[in-house]
Amino acid sequence: MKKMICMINIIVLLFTLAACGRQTKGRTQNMNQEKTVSDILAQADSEAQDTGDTAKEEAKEESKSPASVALDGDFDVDLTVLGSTIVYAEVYNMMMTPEDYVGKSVKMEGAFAVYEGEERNYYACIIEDATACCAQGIEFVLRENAVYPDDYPALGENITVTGIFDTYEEEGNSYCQLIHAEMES
Amino acid sequence: MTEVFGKIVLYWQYPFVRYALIVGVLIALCSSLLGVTLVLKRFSFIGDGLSHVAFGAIAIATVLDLTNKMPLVMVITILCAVLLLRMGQNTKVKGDAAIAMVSVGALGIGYLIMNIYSTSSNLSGDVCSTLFGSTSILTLTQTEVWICVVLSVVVVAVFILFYHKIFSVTFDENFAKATGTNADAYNLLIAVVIAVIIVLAMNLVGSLLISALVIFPALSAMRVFKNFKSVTYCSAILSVSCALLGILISIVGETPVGSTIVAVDIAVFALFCLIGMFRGGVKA
Repeated sequence: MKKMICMINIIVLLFTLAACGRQTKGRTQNMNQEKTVSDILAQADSEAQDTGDTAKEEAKEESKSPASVALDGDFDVDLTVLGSTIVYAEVYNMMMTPEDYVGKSVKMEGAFAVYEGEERNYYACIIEDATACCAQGIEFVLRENAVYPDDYPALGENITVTGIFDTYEEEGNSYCQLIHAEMES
Repeated sequence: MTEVFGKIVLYWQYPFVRYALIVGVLIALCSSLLGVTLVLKRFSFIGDGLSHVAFGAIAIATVLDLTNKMPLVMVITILCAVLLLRMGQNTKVKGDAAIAMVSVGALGIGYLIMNIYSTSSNLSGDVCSTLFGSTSILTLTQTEVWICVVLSVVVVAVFILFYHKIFSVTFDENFAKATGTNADAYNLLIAVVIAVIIVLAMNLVGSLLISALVIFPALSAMRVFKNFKSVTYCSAILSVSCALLGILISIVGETPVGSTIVAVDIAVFALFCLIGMFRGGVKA
């Protein structure tokens, strides 16, 4: 009898611990309900049309890109405030479940890397984990036209990148990137 | 201190941190329960051997490009656990020699397979992650967490249900056999449970560090306590506490998870050695 009671207690305890999973599901659902890239762009365009009575204000609003509207203020995902262990795990999650992050503004810090493709170059911000044996990177596309290598830092140099998380298809594969990105080195 | 607490609160919002703590606690609990038995049966190194087998199995699963590697890894590890047990009894290659042979064999063949057939662009990362755990514990999916919860419940249930039989087989196998206990069957059960724990623990500390998770809490508890039940309870509490503390330190201090847990285990072992010197405990 004592053994049975002990067993029941342990099973209840274990399932109580595991109950945190439901909160996550809720969080994921909320994430999915948040803005997509197109929503942000549409909202920014709408704001640009509504505001500005004077010609000067209109010109100012028009010059402000949708991305810069999204990137002003707080970021949805600010990886720069996280430790290296957590950053790696969060970037891993962004790669594994990109649908939860599409449309979110992201700020990250890491090493600059470039892959020179046949049709275009791919620029990325690379983050290493605490053991320094694994690395995750996110590709970014700068908002303003930039020429490689003149407008980019040296390979491996530490950079801070901000942009909006998005996915795209290429040759049948899905990839993640930060669009309308801004980079500081 | 406030900064550290703030960091923990911030990180708690991330589901993968909560998953890591849940899975870490469960794995630590399971490994400590069987750890006492393994240490007393002089099977401390079997965890290390089986973890290397699991590494070889992961290499095969990776080459086969399996989405869920756990079933294959589990089956191969359990088979090897049974094989090691049989080899240790009635064959020409016995005990430690059998473990060493299977251990290094699986490790070498696993790495060879990964090198020759792997299509991964980050082979060294994959190997490092499997051997040292890396951030595996922080990249678990909800499904993996549930599998771990179910298997942990099974392991704890088996230990509680067969506690007295495991106790008798652990302390005096010949006496257990003489009194009608099917010692071979219980040894087989222990081997299967160990294999399950090893596969689960690979996510937490990696295959090279699993033995630490199995033996340190048991050895620490044996420095202070004298009977099987007290040692088992103490070992479970120590193991869970060290795993929790290790995960939190690694998250806040930005250190590798597996090696941080092992470092905490070593520190606690040193502390319990000192306590044992004053109180006088059982020597393993």
